Amino acid sequence: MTGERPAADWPLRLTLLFFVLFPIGPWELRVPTMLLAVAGLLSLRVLVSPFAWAALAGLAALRLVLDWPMADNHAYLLAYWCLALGIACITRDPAQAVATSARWLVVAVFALAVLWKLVLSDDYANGTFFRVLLLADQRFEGLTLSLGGLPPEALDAARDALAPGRTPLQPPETAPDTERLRWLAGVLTWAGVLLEAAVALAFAVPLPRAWHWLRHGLLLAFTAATYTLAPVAGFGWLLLCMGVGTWRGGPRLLVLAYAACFALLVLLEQIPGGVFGG
Amino acid sequence: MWITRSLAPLVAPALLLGVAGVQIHQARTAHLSPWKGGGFGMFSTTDVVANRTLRAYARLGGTVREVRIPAALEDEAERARVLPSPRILRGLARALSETVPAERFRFELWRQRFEPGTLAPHPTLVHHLEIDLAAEADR
Repeated sequence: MTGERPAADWPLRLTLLFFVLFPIGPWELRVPTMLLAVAGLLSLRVLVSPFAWAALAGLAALRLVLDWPMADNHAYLLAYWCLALGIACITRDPAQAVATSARWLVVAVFALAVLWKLVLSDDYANGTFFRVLLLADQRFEGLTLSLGGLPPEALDAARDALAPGRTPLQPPETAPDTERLRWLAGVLTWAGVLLEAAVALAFAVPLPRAWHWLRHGLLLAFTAATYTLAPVAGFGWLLLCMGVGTWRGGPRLLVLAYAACFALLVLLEQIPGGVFGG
Repeated sequence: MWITRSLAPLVAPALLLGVAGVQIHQARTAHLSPWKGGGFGMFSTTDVVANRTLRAYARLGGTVREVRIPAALEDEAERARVLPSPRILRGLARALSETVPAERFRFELWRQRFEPGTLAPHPTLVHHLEIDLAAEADR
């Protein structure tokens, strides 16, 4: 992993940093994963050890089993990514193996996200999902009040109307919203899924190296936009690690954009409830 | 050997797709919330745990009454709201029977659906299961 292509170490180091910045699971998992991560950051031998990565993948997978079925999707992605890095460490060209794994993991994640939204979900494409999310989820309260143009008292009334626990015998209430809020929900609905489809497509289609900036640009745009709205910084960090894993050189501007995006995720993590939270 | 080496980087993506396939099947057949289970269905539907309600009913001596699931069992109840599998509901029934006298428990999982135009909520019963505690004791 070192020598002629020192940049190939970056996805590994950044992934180890994940375990330090976003500790996983209960303390029985946090302690060994953090110790392994710190050891890998300090020692090159641990950094490129397939056993260390197999252990991290195993611990990440153990978390999924112990927490079944409650783990979020990025907990699964972490286990796959550590497995991919461990496998890369035993191949003849680890950098190429990391790039291949990263590329197809990104394609799979984004293609599945699009599949769920456009094919499997019964209330995404008609805008219902984002309308309900904007009204009911406190993490989006700032967005709903400002861009959505909903007065605070109307938001309270909407939350009462949408709250679960109503019995079928109670007459349904209508949640108040505004034209602007419907418009905002429509923009978020289609911008989100189109960007995800674009990322999946850009990584799936074989592009000449001169066009790889398109992949990175789309992934960075998705990460910056999505994780500013939805505070799941760990997911964003993993996606960026995979983006770095596919890096084969490019404009300095993109390197700076990656650095800025990683920094943005760390900063966003410090804001309780997210940028637009109530 | 060349094939093994060239396919090795595809092991993790293939595993991801395999688990996602199981998740989609579970969501379709076992009412697993699309947000969970490794299928990357988050932010795609209102069928999230916050919009699911679990109701519990205790049957004892011919009478049935709805029981409130105690706060101490909230983790188990949340797990059941995400995936109302027989195994998870049996565990919840056993835990519930320590504080609620019952011969059987009936669990109902309700999903809050929303009218596309008005967003009027419509609770929908998506799954129910009865647990016979005597049969559970014999297991």
